[in-house]
Amino acid sequence: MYPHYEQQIKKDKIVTEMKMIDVDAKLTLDREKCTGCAVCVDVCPKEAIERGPVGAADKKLSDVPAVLVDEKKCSFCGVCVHLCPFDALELRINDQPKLLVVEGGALPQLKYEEVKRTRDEGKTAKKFFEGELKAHPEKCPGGCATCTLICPTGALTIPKREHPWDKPPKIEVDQDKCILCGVCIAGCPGEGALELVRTNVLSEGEHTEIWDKIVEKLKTPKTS
Amino acid sequence: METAKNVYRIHIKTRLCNGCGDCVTACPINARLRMEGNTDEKQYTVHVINGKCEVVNQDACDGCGVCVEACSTKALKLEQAER
Repeated sequence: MYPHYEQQIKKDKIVTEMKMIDVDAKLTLDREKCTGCAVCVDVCPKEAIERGPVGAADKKLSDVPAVLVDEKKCSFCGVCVHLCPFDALELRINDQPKLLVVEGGALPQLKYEEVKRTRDEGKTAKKFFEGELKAHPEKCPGGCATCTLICPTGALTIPKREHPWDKPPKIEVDQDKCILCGVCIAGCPGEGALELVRTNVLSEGEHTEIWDKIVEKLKTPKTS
Repeated sequence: METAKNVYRIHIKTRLCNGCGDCVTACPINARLRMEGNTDEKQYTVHVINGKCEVVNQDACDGCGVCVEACSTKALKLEQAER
């Protein structure tokens, strides 16, 4: 029966597929590039993507992926592909990489800077958000360091303590290094320790009201 | 706090669990509750009940994986939930 939906979860990638008589749409998630920042979760117009155990997936403690696409809800539009800061997603239609949302003029081209990822050598990240990541050290329980491990650009650090008998120090944010992707928000088990406020998404070119809705979703402040 | 519920769940192999409680102390959600002075055990993610670890509040889990790391007998795992 058409359309036929299929999902294969492999160690290095997840392939979500929809087959129709003349169309074969394939959404591939590269699990090695994906950090679990959940931009795709926020952006998806069908709410088809769900966040998994980000911290555990990053430490390779769980086989469950950091984000998972529901193949039956997905409309294979490619909004997530266009906005992924780590280029982890790829949409192929009839085996050709194609992004109809951008070609058709619904979404503008992003103006981004390429930033080197400090954790994984040779991989880059895109910085197209403007805003601020606020740390509330009084709410951080301290001692877990998930955010410093998970941050792809090394923007979050825990300062060294002066004396060994001091209390464990709390988190610090380097605003210049931060690309505002939001991995730390997804990974932090504390409540309200980190706050992400995006003020702008840098873009140029024509767009429709779909883009305004997406930007609005991205601009809503997120707390861990 | 924002949590993901439908993608994964904590699975404990009761046969392997020795009830040491390492996962209960390691879990940051439990730690936060204790820091706030909340002693209601029903809000804990995992807790040792009658000598075996049990999942009490699956919805509270944030998927950080600290409990998997802490478990000495590899009884605790994060598994994919059935859809």
